[in-house]
Amino acid sequence: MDELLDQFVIEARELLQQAADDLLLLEREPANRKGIESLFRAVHTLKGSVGLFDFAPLQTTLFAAEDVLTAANRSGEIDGLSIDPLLAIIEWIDVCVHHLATAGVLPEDTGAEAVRLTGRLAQQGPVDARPAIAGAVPAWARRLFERHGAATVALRYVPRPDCFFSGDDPIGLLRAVPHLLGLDIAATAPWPAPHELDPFTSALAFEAVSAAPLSELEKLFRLLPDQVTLVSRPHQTVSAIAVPAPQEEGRQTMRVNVGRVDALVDIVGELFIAKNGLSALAHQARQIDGGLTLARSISAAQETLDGLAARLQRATGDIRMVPMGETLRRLPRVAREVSAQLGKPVDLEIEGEGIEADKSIVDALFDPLLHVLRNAIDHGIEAVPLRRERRKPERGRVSIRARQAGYRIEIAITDDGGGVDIEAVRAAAVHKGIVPPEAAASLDEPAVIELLFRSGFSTTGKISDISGRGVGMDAVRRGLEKFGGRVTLQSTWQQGTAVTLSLPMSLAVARIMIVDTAGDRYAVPMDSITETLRLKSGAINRVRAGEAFVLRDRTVPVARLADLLGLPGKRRDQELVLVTETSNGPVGLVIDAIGDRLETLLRPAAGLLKTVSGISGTTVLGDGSVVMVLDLEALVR
Amino acid sequence: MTLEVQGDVVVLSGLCGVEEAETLLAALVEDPSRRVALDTTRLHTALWQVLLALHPPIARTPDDPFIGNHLLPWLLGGVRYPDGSSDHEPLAGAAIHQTDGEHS
Repeated sequence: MDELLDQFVIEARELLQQAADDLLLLEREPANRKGIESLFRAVHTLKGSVGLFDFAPLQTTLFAAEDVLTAANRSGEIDGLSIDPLLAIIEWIDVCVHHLATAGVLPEDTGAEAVRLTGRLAQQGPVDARPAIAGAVPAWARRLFERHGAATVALRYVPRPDCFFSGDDPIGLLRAVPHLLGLDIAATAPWPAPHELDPFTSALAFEAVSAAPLSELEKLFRLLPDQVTLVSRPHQTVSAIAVPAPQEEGRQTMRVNVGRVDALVDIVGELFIAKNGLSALAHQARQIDGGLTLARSISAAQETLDGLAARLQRATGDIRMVPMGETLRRLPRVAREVSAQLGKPVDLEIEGEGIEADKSIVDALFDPLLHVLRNAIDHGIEAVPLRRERRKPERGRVSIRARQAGYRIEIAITDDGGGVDIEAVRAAAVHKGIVPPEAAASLDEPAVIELLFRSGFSTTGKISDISGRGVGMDAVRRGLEKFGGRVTLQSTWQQGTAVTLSLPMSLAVARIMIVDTAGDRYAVPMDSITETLRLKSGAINRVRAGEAFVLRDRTVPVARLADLLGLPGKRRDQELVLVTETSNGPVGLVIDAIGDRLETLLRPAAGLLKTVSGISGTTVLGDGSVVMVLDLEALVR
Repeated sequence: MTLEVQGDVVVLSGLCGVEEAETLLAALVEDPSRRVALDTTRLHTALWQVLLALHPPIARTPDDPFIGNHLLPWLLGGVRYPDGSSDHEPLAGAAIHQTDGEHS
C-alpha cells in the first residue's frame, strides 16, 4: 500500500477513536466544554488528513460535522439530537478506512452514503434502515442476493404516491436498469374495488437485482434518493481481495511491528525498577555478621547490571529512532494541493530529512507540521498582486528545516509572506471577547502573538477548508506538549513568519507516584522509592536537630517534604512516610497523602526551574495539569 | 389513437402516456370481461398499475424480453401485498424468471 495512505489509516483510526469517545462522553454531558473542543479538534484534523487524498465524500461529511460542532463550540453545548448522526458519520468513516486498509480503495457507494449521512445530520433525523456496511445487508436484499447468484446490486424502489404528477415513470426507469436479473412487484396496499382505483396515484413497490456496477445504478436513480435504496452485495471474505505481496526488503533492514519494540521498551523500564531492589539487598547483607563481602559482591553485580541496563535502554531506544524524512516527505503533496486550491504559487524547500528521532515523535510531528504549513500558505503568503506590489517574487517561499539541537530536534517553518498583522490580532481578540479592550491595548507584541495559540482564535473572518477555523495553532501546541515539545512564532510585518517546533529526540518514560503535601501535588519517580510506611507519630523521635525512626534495626533520618519545600506542614497522629534510598543510605520523607501511580513522560526542567535544586523536571498529568517532579536525592541532601 | 376497444378487446398501441390510465380503467370497469391486447412496449407505469390491479385476461403481448421476463409474470400471477400475501392465486410457472443471462 502507498506509504502515505498507510499513515493516513493509522492516524484516521486514532482520530476516529477519539471522536467516538468524545461523542459518547457528550451524550452523557452535552455541555462538556473539553469534550466539545476535543471532538472539534479530532474532526478538524481528520478533515485535514482526508483532504490529502481524493476522498471527497468523506470530506463532505466531515465538513458538515464540523459545521455542527462549530455551533456547539459557540453555544457551549452540543445538541443531543446531533449525537446520533455524528456517530453514524464517524462509524461510517471508520468502515471506509477499514476498507481502505484492506482493499486499498474506498467502498463503492460512498457518494450516495455521504449525501445520506450529511442529510441526516442536517435534519438530525433518526437512523433509517439503509446500511452502509458490508455484513449489515437488510433481509430483503439478502433474500434477493440468495435467489440471484450473479447479482451485484439489489434495489428497492418505492415510488412516491404522487410521482406520476412529477413525470416519473417507475417501470420505464426499471426497464433502463442495466443487466436486470429479476424484478419483484408489490402493491403497497390491497387493491381497492376497480371503480375506486385512482389511476394517477402510484401504489406500487419494486425490488430488483442487477449485475451492473453500483455506480451505474446510482447514476440512473440519482434523482430519486428518497425513493430508491441501493445495496451492493457484501464482499464474501476479506481474503478474496487481492493483497499485494510484501516487497522484498533489503537484507540490512527488517520491518518490526512497533508493538513488539514497545514491549521491549516496557521490559527495560521494569528492569530498571527491579534492579533497584539490589541496593536494598546489599544493605541487608551489610547488616548480617560477616556479610560485608557479600554486600560488596552484590554492589559489584549491581554496577555491572546498571551498565548493561543503561546500554539496553539506549539500544532499544535506537530501534525506535527513524529519520524525519518519513514525516517531511509527506508535506510537498500538501503544499502543492493547498497552493493549487488558493491559487498562490509556492515553492517548498525541505532540509534535514536525515535527522533521527523517536518514531512516536516523528509521527506526532505530522499534524502540527500540516497545520503550520497550511497556515503559512493560507494566511502567510500573500496573493500574487499584493506580492507584486510589495516587490516580492510572485512565487511564495516556504522552507522547512529540521536540525538537531543537543538532545532536541528543532524544525523551523519559515515563509516569506506578510507576517502577522499584530493590530488585526489585537482587534480580533477584543472582538471575540478573549481579552478586554483595555488589556489588549497594553499587550506587547509577543503577548499578542501568544493570543494566536488560544483555543478557537482565528483572525480570518471567512472559513476556508485549508486551515479552517483557527483551531490550528492551539492544536499544534497541544499536540506537541504531549511529547514535551514547544512551539514559538516570530513574525516580521510584511517580511514573513517563522514557526519553530522543538521536541525531545526520544521519550523518557518514567513511572511516577503523585504525592500531596500541604495541599500541593508533586510527582516522585517510583524507582527512587523503596517503600511507603504509616508510622505512629510516637515512632518518630527527635534526634539532635532532626527526626528519625527505626526501620528493621536501622535508624532512618526523617525529613518533612513540606519543610523542605518551605510550605506550612502539619503534624499528625499517624504519619505517611516514603522511604528513599540515597547515596547516604535510606531517608524517610513525610508527606500528606499518596495519589495515583502512573507512567508518564518526564520533561527536563526548563527556564527558572532549572536553577531550583530538588526539581528534576515537570510532567503533564492525565487531566492536563502540570506537576513538578521531585529529585529526592537532591532534596534531602 | 393508442387505446382502442375492438369488440371485447382493449388494444393498446403506440405510446401510452399516463393520461390514458383513466381511459383504460374506465374501459375495464365498464365491461370486466374485456381482454387487453398489448401491441406496444411503451406503456406508462400508471397503465401497468391498472393492469396489475384489475388483472384482466391478456389477449396478446409484444415480443419484449423486459415485459416477458419481468412484468408478465406479475400480470398473470398477481402482485404481492406488503404482508407477503398475494392479490391473486399465482399460476404455475408464473414466478419470477430466473434469468441469469443478460435480459435488459
